[in-house]
Amino acid sequence: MMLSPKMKRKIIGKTNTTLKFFFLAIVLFLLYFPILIIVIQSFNANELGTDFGGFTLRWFRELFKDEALVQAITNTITIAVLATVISTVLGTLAAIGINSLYKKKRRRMLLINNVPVLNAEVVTGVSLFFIFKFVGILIGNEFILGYWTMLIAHIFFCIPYVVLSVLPKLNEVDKNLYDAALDLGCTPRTALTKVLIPSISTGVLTGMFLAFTMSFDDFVISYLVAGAEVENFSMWFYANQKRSGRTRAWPKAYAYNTIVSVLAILILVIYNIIAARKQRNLRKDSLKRR
Amino acid sequence: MKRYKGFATPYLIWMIVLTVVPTILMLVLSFMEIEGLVLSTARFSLSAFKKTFKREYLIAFTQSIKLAGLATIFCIIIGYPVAYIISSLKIANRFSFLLVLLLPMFTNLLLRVSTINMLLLPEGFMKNVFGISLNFSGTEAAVVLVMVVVYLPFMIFPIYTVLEKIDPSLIEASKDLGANNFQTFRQVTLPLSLKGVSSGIIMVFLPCATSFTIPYIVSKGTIKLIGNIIEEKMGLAGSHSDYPVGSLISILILVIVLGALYIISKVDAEGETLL
Repeated sequence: MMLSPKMKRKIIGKTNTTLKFFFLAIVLFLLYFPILIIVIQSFNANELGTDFGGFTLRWFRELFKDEALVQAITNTITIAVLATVISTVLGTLAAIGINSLYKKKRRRMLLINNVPVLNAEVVTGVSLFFIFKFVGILIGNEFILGYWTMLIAHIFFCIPYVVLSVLPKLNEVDKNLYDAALDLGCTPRTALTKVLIPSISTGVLTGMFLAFTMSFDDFVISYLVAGAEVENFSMWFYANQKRSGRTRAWPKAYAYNTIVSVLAILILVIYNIIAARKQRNLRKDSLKRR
Repeated sequence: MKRYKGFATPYLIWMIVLTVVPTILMLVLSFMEIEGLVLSTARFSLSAFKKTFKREYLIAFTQSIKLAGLATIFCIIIGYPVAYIISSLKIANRFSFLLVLLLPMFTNLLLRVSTINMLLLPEGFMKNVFGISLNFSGTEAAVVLVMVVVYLPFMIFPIYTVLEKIDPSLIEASKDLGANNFQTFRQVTLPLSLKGVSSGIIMVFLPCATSFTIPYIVSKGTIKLIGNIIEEKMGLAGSHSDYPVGSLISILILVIVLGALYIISKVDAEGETLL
């Protein structure tokens, strides 16, 4: 059968869309099926999770009765918040510093900045473990590992992400803008806070978001530097896995995770709505002015 | 803006204290024999080297490379087309699709790993609820599958980042010059996107090869990768700690990472594909 070029194009176009659909479907399935199961399990009355035993909210109540788990969740949240705030501020300042360096020094700074980003988490954890232990020996405190070493470790691995998200924005900033601010009477400090930082705010926000995600979900590094007494959610879960293969801890973990996912989706949706509205208002304003 | 040069110095010192100094500590430790970390028991020794190049650890090492390599290959096979498709979507859809890829990361990684593994059990939730009985929980294939599911977004993002930056006029020029779609892809798009692929390979392969939670949770300790050995040697797996061996293995991994870092600094000096 001879096909006209037009028909041929149509058929190729069709297989293309099927292929596209196929690939996107695979990815969505791979990424979301486990999460769907987690959500279903968190409402599952069957404790072992081997079958669906009816709908229950029991795990959401029990979750808050488990002292160790509540403590672990509190640690996860407070560390994530503190690490995010501190690393966003320090990372933004570091990025501004790096941006004002010349070629060779700038490259060197970026190279060392990328070490924790690329380094295997175990290796980062092991190195931090040794430096903390070493400092502990120097100051005569054998039990230095705990909440504070965990916080320092989180700040350490979050800053590079902030730097990486702020730097491209700094690159885009018109250098004359800063000079103009100085010429118009800004002190270097007000030029920094009123001109430079607002113009890189989207980068700072991205960095903040990344830092929070990294810290909130971290396991390996915390596990190595938090010592035996302090644990975050991931460490609590891993410890439970080690104690016994199938444990009573699972349903509570599922419930906690469902709460977190719902919050994450809500925040992202709200953020998008606000961003969209802002954009619309901007467009309206520009139309009015015309 | 040269005024702010000074901000870089404290950061440099901080990074040196937390990356270079511990590396030196680990190097020194690798050449020692020591009880725990009691300095008075430390003495020079090459025993860590002897212990590290044991058969058991070499198997763990090749196993790590094999499983992580397979996971990386699958991530490219699935991730490249997906990144390509996303970059060809309309801008609004593109953004929401990227969000869709990002959202699963808010689910705790360990929980996802153990859930996926649970789904691969022959008896249990999948059989009783969906009537599907898979039977490869705890196998190497399960480890690879879990790695792919967890790290796939890390392959898609960097490839997408470079694809999005390709100047569309290059594609048009190629077509004007008589190349068909496939030729354009092979000779223009693909070469230009390779730096995203190399970032992606590094960002999938390294964490997979050094992961100790995935093999542990999936196989309950029967599959040991290099990360599991480190966990053991750091005294975290309920075993006696052996810090010199832990340090030496970490240093060996660090050497590989530095190689990767060198490649990245060649193809992507500003680290744009790392986010």
